Amino acid sequence: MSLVTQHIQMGYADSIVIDDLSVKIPQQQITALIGPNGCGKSTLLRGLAGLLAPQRGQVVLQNKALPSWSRQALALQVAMLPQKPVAPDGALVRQLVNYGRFPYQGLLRSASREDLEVVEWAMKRTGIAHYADKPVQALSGGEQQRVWIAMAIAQQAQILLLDEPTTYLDWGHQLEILELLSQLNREQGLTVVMSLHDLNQAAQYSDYVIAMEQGQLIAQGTPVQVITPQLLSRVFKVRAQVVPQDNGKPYCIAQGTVSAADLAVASEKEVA
Amino acid sequence: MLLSLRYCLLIVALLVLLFVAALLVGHQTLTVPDLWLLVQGQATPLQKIVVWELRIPRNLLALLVGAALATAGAIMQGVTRNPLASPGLTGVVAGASFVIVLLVSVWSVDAHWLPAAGFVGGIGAGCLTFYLAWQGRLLPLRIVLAGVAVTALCAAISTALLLFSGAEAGDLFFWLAGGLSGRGWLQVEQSWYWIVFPMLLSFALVQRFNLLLLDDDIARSLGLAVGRWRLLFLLLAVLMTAAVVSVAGPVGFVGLVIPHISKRLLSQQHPFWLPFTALLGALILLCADLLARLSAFPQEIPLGVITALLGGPWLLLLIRRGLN
Amino acid sequence: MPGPGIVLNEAPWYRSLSCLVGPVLLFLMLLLGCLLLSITLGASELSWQQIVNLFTAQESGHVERVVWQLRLPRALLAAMVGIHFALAGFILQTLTRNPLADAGILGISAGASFTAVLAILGASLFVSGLESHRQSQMILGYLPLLAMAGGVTAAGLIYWLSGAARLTPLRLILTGVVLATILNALVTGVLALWGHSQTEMIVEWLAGSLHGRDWQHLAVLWPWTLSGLTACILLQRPLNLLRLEDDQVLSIGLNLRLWRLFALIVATLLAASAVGVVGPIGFMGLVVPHICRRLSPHDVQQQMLLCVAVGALLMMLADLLGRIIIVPYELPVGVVCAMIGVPFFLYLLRRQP
Repeated sequence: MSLVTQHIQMGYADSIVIDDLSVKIPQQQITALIGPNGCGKSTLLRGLAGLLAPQRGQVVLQNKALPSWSRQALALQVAMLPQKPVAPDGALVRQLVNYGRFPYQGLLRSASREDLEVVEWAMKRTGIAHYADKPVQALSGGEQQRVWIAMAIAQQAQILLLDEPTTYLDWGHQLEILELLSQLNREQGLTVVMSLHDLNQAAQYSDYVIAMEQGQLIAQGTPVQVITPQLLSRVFKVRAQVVPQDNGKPYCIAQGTVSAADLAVASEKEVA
Repeated sequence: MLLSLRYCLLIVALLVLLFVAALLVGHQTLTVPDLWLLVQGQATPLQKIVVWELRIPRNLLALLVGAALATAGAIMQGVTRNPLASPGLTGVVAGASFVIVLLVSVWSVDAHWLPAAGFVGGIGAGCLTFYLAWQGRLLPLRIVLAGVAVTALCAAISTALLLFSGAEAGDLFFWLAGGLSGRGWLQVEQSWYWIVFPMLLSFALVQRFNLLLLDDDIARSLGLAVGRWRLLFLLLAVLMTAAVVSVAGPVGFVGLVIPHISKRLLSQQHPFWLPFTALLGALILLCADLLARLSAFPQEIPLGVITALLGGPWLLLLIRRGLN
Repeated sequence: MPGPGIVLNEAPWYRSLSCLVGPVLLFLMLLLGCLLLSITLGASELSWQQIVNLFTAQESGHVERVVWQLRLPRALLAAMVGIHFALAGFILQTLTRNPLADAGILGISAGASFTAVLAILGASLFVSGLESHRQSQMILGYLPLLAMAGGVTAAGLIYWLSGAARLTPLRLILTGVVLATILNALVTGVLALWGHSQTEMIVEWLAGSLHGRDWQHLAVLWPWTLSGLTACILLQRPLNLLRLEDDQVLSIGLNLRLWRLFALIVATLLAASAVGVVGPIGFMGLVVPHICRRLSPHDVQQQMLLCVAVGALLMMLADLLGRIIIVPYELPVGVVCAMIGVPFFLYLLRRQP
């Protein structure tokens, strides 16, 4: 299931957020999108999920442009979890997870035996089975996030897109979510694309990193290739030390912000 | 599930009780034995006429009107995710009644077509309201204010028509107050299919309704064509509202208040929430109609007055407490 | 510190008015022109020659009656009513810091209508035996007062409902809209129960109409106009300050509650007394203050004066339009105002953040 963008330009009403971006999402791997606030990560994810049509260029899933997929057929292939979704009043955990089976159900047909089994599996997988009959809004932020992820994996799509799945969670819950995703990736061969703010988490849990700045692709490759002091100072304006860990993944230690003068010096060095 | 079953039973029991009570009271007061005789076919002709020709159709209409308005309100509030979107406040009712007043006073159109005509007017006014309120997104209060403006415009033109129509002015004025007085089998026949079929369709599509209550992006990534289904649901709501307006005139606040109450009693995500809301609406409207008939006996207060007096203060309270 | 666009005008009043002499003359001329138009145009067309002859006392009884008994008092009443609604709208908008406020939208007119309808119907119940027009003449003198009682009650309700929680402008309007809906339902209920003989008359009155108004209505309204205008002169300076944030006003040393209450009462007095005589005419109080603020962006004194002029002018024009647009029928001035005012309201709504 290949997912590729070809020279897409995206934006809202009168502002262009992403300009001429081409990227190929590696299959069955975990890809992390990194970049400063407002660089177009969320917009790119919405474009990949077919929620926002590019103004120019196209997004291609399995050699077919997204607009030629029907909504339902697309939902069978790509699941998307927006940033901080709001659970509707009074929805129970099981109900919400069951909505993930919507693309499998016909106009008037309700849940089949298989649907129910998948829902149970998804709830077990995300560790929320014992909350199944509680209202979603009664749960904590981390638990709610797991409910949403359960809904997304109950969709059994091969590509899972997540917009900052760890935001608003405490440290432990953040790692829990990331570990869950990496397990699903290993066991089911799930392709995961997520935007992350924490670079060390991105390095630790992803196989591939895409760095963006102002709607442009800056760098892509393995974490070691992408997460370098040069990139950090350019994209985040942060002076940082990057040290390799035992497992080979890079680890960043911030030392301070980069002033304009430092940047000038750095670019001179590059020229030299 | 159990809880809702208990509520449903309670409401149905109340409904039956009220229905029977509404058959008994009025100018011709009957007793339960009278009713029993009537069922056996031994009542006086007068009693027969009173029950079969006057009270039963009127009660049925009350049930239809209440269920339709409550469902329409529930749908509008749900799919726009807006606690103030209701047929009355979005100008749909005013648009429908304006077109109906126009047709009645200027061309005297056949009553069978009034629901369809009201539908056109309701859609026109509803679209206008949503278009005017749209500003990148829809804020609840903005919808209401745009609705107020559309309503004021429709009402002003209706008033002008009313004044020119001369002899019918008084009748039309009371029709514009909303009510079921003098409505009979004819009105039931004219309107029931405009109400029942859209309502059943909306009940059948409950799964899509529930998804529309979610975030747009989520519903879309679950494979729902959000825009198309939202439009369909809104059209169903407008159709039901227009049918109600064509038989009972503009009856306010029911579509706004009932869904809020039923949301408190039963989770909006419950598969039977819409039917439950309809049932609740039917019950409350039957109650209101009974009040309209009895509270100023032997005269009758327009039903719209009763619903405004019941629903208005409640809405004021809601605004004061802050809409979430 | 004053907010953007607010200039605290502490100059003596005559200085800010002195630069207005030109515009005032202009408006007086416009007013006069409008008055002449109102007198000439209508169901029975009069020629200019006939008007001129009227002043030289050479004209027949018919023309004299049409002009002196029908058109002139009606045009003057329109001007007075226009002033009432415009000033009421201006005060309410300043008071609530809300460009969408208006006596009609806030439910004050609906409260006034309610008590007025009650009074009219009550008179017909208790004083039966007289012809209906005699009854309405009897009660006419009291109508502004009674309407004011209803208006004040509605205004008090709004004040109370919006006092506890600090309401946003839009929410305040929503409260008013709902209150107006309830009160209108009450009016309908009252009419349905006791209105049989007079429904048509009251329906016309509820639409806001100047039809059939003459000198006696003018005689009833003028004391209220005068006292309203006097109160407005007193209100000029405090109103200027009431546009600021509450804390700022308090720190300047203004008795906030007192002046706010006074302003609310003056606005209600103006709107309700007019409602008592001609029925609830909506949207005029919304439109006029905006035009005036456009004409004079900073100075409250000038704006108030402009409200008087523009309100009178616009209402006269609206009534004229209603009279001549579909001769021989007559569109109530309230309907004309709604048709002008609603698009304007929507325009303002779109500009609300």
